[in-house]
Amino acid sequence: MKNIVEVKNLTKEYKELKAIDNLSFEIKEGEILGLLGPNGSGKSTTINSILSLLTINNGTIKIFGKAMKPSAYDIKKKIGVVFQDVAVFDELTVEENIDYFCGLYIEDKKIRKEYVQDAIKLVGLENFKKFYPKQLSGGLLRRLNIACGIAHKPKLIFLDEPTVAVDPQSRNNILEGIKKLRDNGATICYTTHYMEEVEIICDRVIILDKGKILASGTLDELKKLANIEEKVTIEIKDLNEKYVNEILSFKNVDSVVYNNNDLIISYKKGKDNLTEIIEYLKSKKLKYDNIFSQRPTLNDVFLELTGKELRD
Amino acid sequence: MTVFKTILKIINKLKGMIILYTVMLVSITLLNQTSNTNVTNFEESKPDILIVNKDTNDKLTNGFIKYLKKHSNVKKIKEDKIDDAIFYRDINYVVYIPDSFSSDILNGKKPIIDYKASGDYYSSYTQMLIEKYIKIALIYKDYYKDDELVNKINKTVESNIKVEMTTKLDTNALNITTVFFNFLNYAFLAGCVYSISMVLSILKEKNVYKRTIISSYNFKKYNSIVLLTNFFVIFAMYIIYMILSIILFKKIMFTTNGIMFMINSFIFMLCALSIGFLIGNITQNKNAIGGIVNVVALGTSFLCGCFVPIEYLPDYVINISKILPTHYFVMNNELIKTLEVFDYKNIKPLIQNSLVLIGFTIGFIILTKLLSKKKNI
Repeated sequence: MKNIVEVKNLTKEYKELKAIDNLSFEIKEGEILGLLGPNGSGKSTTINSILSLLTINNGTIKIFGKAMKPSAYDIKKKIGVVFQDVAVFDELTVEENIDYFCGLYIEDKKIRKEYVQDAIKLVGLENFKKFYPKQLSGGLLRRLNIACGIAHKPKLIFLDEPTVAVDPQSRNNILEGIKKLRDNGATICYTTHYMEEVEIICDRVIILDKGKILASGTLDELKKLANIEEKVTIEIKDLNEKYVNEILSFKNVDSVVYNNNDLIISYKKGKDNLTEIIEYLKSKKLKYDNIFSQRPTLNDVFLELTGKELRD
Repeated sequence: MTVFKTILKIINKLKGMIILYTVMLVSITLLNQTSNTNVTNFEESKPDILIVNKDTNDKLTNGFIKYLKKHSNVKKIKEDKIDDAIFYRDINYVVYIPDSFSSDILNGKKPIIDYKASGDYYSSYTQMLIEKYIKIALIYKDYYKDDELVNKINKTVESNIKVEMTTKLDTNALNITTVFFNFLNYAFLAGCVYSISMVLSILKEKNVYKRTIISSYNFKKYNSIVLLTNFFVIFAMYIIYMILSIILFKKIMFTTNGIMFMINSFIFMLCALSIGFLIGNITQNKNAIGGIVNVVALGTSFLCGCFVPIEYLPDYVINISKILPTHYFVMNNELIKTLEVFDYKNIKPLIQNSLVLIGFTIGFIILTKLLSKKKNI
């Protein structure tokens, strides 16, 4: 797969602060690349720098093999951007808004009309065409925001936290829409601080913190960095410290945390771990409520790499 | 066409306020039209006077009394009631003709006439009548005698001077037209500042603006279209106002004065447009625009004599208003109102004021450019 975006040694400074520190990465054709990181990690600054909305201090940016600059209209024609904040006209209806932003790229009225209807259909706003933005709920407004950014059928789409403050139904709709765009041939760069979203839609992930790349790769590659294979959580009341220490001495156990009646056991390797712990609890006649096992998450990776939670 | 059409759609949403400014303009003009009529009636009013004659009944004194009787209502009041009568305005003036009245005049000496007066307009008028008679009598006594003297004096004091207005201007219609064009300053400024600032604040809203910049639409072309569309809208507003002026003042608008009014308004329209762009670039807050319109349009209109005629404004207000373009627009309207001969000498002040207006326009454009450059840095 060829590289659609190539970023090399990108640095952006605000006086003393290095918002982006020598960043290098690529976005490959047809993939959804997730830029994951806590607030202030440099995700939006990276996108704004790539789009030439910010003047960079160092580095090179190539899109579709050409150097990106503010006047590179031939490159811009193939790019769609959905910003974190809703960017629409309150004075225009849903259809008029999409038509306006699509019109900034597509001059042919007939083609534009067709594209606008496709975008409306993609985000599921068919019943709200004549509505004004102020008449829409937060979720619908986000969908309109997305439609305005992708109506011209771009080959490369940047989505900067498009699901912030969105209800679960709209979030699912948005994520499904993004997958559809990828399936239709678009390359997508998706920034978020919701690791669940990244796990659902991204083919490859870059984890950012303080303007630096901490790790990058596929989900499986990244999860290996967490150094654990399984995590078992047991809801159990008043557990004696003696039992905690005994569990910690089990063969594959990496760590045991008992907090707020939750016993969390992390395993380095994962085979028959759940059976072993259930049998132990039975033998000690300890009563427990719920018990569940999960694979390591990106939060565990982030925790392993930085020593802090992703949402700290 | 996308940007052009979208701006028109946005303006269409804002049309309510622009219509309101136009309605205000027409209403004030119509109010002025109904309160100003062409016909002015003049009726001589007569003061109520009392004559106390101490002179002998010679011809000169009788002639004087006859003249006074003709121009006033002579009352009969007892001497002890005179003061009360004056206090209650039953009479306005009491004239005491001295016994030496005739002899003094014939000897070339101004007779000393005692009087009591209510101190109002009527008493002043009576005083004028007396002064006029004595003045003429003192001149004529050297040339005429007896009956001939009395006849000549009476003929002269009764003669009227025919005053003929040499101007061909329809001053009343011109006055109302000037009121319309002076108030047009408010409608123009309010309309320009409101519509341009609103359009720019909507188009330059941070996120929408970002989306525009990253699009493949040539940004220079985009800016030019925004500028031209605003010009188009304000020019359409100008045309509507000029059509309104033609409907309201058909007689005036097809004269040279009317064309001058139109040219002056066009120059001011350009200035208002530049003010609109300047304010639109300074403020991005839609909620603040209403307040700014009031300060700019209402403030300048009051200071520069658009609502209150300039002749009623104190000097210091007029001096302050000289730093505002509206002052020169209003001054030109006031000049055009009085113009009858359109030679260089007469239109020179008009040209000077117009140049000042153009200077203001250029100044505002430069300031807007500097500010937007500073913003982009």
